[in-house]
Amino acid sequence: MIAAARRAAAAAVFATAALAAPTHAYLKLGAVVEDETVALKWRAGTISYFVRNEGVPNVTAAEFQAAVQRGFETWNAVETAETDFQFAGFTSQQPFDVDDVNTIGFRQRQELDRVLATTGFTYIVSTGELVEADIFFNSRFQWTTAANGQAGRFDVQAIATHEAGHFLGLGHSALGETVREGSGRRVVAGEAVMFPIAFSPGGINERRLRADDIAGVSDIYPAQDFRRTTGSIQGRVERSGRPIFGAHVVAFNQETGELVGGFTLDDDGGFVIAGVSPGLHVVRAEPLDDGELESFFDGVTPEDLNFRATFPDRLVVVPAGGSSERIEISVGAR
Amino acid sequence: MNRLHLAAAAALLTACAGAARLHATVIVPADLPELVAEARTIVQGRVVSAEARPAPAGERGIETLVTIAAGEYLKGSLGSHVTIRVPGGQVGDRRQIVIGAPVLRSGDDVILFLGGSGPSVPWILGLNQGVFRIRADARFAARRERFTGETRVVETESDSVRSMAPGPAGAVPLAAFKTRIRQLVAEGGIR
Repeated sequence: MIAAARRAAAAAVFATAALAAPTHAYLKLGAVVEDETVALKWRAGTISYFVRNEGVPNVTAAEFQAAVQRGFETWNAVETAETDFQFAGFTSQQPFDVDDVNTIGFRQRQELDRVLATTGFTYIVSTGELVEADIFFNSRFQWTTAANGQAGRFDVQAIATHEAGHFLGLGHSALGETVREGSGRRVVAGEAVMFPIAFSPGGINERRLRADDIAGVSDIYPAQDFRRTTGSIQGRVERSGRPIFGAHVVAFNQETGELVGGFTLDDDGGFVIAGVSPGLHVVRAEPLDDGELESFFDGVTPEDLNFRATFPDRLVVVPAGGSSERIEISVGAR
Repeated sequence: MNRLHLAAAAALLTACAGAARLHATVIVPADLPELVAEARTIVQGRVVSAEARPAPAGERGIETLVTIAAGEYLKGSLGSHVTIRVPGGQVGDRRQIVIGAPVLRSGDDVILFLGGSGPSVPWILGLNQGVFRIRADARFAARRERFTGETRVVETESDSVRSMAPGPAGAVPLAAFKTRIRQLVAEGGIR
């Protein structure tokens, strides 16, 4: 059940965004409009959402709405980002109805039977305008809104926080780790709310944003000082002179302990990790070998997994308001 | 920066990236038995069409009907061609993306784990969890596919490729993957 209960993975379509928008790190949702990739992000200052007026055992609609709101407010509280999501009322509409109404709620659908929750977007193909986002919570699972979580039940607020990240336009982060346990997998470490596999039921760890989440949302909706107070790391990953696509590149700030990850997303094996705190960083390139690959990429682009995790032979200096010098990471085959 | 300092920093990053990173060289086994047990049908084939449409009455979303030319059934059988429902798609100027739903295009070679009940149109189990793509691998002139999310499978075309040591995200022959599925089917999908 644990393995079955992972949240939905990233849309294949957003790989087109990630691939075509390599200027910054993280995976961001996007659309190709007239051969140009545009980020799927909200243009309006305040985004309203409705909550389906239907609860599940152990969670009333009002309790659900309050927990979802706390999840959104977690993102609203990021000081380096400007987001404003507001609850607009209850509705009888269902998530994934294409009706231009942002709807969040419980629902049961056969084809989503192994999905804990997922987010869907509707956009205008010719303009890239985002017109609707819905969040589906699977009513077949056991849920809770208890302040400290509840054994055996998934925490609505934690899952809502993850899905709200998608709602904002973030894709998945690879900063997490799972291990085999019984017939499923268990998350043993997560350094990003946007890691795509749910913690075991009963936990509430995912209510708290990590550095990677904050960098990502700030990169999409930057507050005034964000670019000035943070820096970026840029570079390239190659093996025997050939660029590596889809390498996961992690930056670790020695002073703050913050981890921020990105991917090589262009034909040259290049990456840019934006929103990094200034200072000395250890950087590592590694294959994406944990979690569903299609949580990150579209299953069409041939990401390269056949290389060893590699550290560059020096620390990387990140200046405030600027970028590191370009680093070259040469990896070897496994 | 001296090497010792760098090594320490590297170790720190490893630790902070998650304790389980230390176990990253151990293959995380797939949830294959679960998928095999739950699947009504397991088919290897090629996508021949993908057409989006408004979802049926009662559902106001968009879905895509994907038709696969069946090459081989590993469990069950639905005929020479099978059509399945995938959430999301494009109708007119509107495109709906459901995060986690695979995008299948004509020409894609896949193994699909399908759910279904009664006379309904089948669907993929767990969205992309039930999709295993078979791809060309330029380096080995072979074919590979996703192996339950953690391990790569390579359909070898020469014995030498089979000598590749399997590991996380490493190469495993497609034939072995299919053999494992057949074993699980024979065992009733239970480990």
